[in-house]
Amino acid sequence: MLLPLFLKTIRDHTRGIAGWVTGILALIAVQLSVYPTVRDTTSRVTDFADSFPEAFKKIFRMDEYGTPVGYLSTELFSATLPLIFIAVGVTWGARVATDEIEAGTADILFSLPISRRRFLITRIAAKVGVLALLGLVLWFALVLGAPVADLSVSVGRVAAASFSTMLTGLTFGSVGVLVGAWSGRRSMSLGISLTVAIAAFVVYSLAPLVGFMKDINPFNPMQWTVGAESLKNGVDIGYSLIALAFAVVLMTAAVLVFDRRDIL
Amino acid sequence: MNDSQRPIVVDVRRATKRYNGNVGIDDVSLDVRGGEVLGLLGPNGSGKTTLLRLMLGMLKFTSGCISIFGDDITANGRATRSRIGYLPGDLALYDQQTVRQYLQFLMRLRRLDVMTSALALCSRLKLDPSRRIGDLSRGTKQKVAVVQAFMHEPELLLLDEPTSGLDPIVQREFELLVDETRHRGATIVLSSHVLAEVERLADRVAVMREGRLMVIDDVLMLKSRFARRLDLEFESSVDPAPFASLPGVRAVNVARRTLTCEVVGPETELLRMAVAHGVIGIHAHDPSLDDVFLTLFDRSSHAA
Repeated sequence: MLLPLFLKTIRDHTRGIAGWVTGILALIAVQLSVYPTVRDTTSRVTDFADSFPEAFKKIFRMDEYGTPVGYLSTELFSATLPLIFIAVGVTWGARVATDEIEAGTADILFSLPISRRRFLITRIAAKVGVLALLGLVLWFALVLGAPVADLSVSVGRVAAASFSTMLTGLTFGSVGVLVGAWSGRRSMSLGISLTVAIAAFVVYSLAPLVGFMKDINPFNPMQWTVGAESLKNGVDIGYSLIALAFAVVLMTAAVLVFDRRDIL
Repeated sequence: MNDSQRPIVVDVRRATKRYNGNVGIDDVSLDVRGGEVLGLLGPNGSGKTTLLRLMLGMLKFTSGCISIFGDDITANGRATRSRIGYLPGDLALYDQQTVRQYLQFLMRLRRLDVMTSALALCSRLKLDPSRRIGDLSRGTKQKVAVVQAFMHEPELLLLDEPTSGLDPIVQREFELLVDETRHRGATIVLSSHVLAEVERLADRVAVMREGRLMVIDDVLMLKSRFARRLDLEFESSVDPAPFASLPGVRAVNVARRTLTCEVVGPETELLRMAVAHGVIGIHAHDPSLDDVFLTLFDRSSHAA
């Protein structure tokens, strides 16, 4: 790890990080503030939820909308939060290897006695650090906010769900890191990793309905993380390890590829 | 002139680099000895930058190798780079930092504290270290690049078009800096597309064209191979015949009272004759880069 580079990377992105933190806090504040109304009209809401087509309920995992866990799952953890974390992971991932190259600042940087591997590991560490920070923000916000909204959830389960959500961002972000390290181009990295993420999301969403998607879904990073439904079930150790291994393999490949490429 | 006793600092052996089928450099071999200033001369796209970036390990070879301080750079790049200062041709710095923050950042990555020497260089180049880099002009940013390349007193400096954007006064200061650096024993490779600049600074010149090393020679030797154009102005009209018969003089023309000619090699005889004929003014035109290439190409086509 190159500490000066790590600190500079974080400092350069303070504003972006603050933006994501604010966004997550605002989203949670809104969802929690609506909860009492939802709960007080549980029967009607349940009817309302039941009135959705079966397919739709399956896609958004709407089975227990009236319960605190069901409410948070449907509103936050089944789609909205994973997509936010994917956005963070993918945009950051795309930048990890590419921004210094595209800006031209890599020229002086790589003339210094630093190794490219350590450069990329440092940048990856900064990225993982930011995702972890956002995961913690998410956890604290829900744990602190839930009692205010009179919503009872287990601190541990919220931690598990926040961890899985962070893992979603990490897996798709690592696709971005690898494409960026290989191509040196942020736009290509962003394009490919977003496409992968959207495809994964579609497969995951339609898996309950479409046969062949159900068959391939076990290989889907979305299934390993969001599909584990950690808010209900706690951390799925097997799936989480697979997701982590997936990210580690991709990022290791990125470090090796980056070491061998031309810095243009 | 015990050049051969000095150690070889940079040893380029048959280095070739192609990018997606395009040639960056093609089969270039050269060496640079300790304490020497080597000028890389050539137009844009001739491979000067590619060669420098290969030396830093930023680009990977298609074939060939480069050793610096006796170590293959692909094997021990980090240790080698700690002894190098580099000034890139396409300059990009971090706009949001101040000059001092940027220099500090580079020092931390180098694990060195050379702020005193960096600040001394800043004041020498009249660069205010408290200014934000984004607010600086192109030429002032170039000063930052000069400071970061020299601040740690590296043993080898690789300078890619170092004076581009510098005003004449700063250029002069830069030339003094290069001289001092050479005198403390450092080795310098600098690229330029201006012959006069290379001539002032370098001991030897490597002329590059389309990725190939055309010629590498002592500056004076090389210069003596190029035709210099002279305009001689006389009091009255002059007979061109005796001038044309002098060795090394060619393309003699007379228009009114002015005789123009090209000279290769020493100009002593020509000047002596001009004085004898009552010359009142002399204008010398240094060979341009185009002239250099024309001469080199003439020679190579004659040889072939």
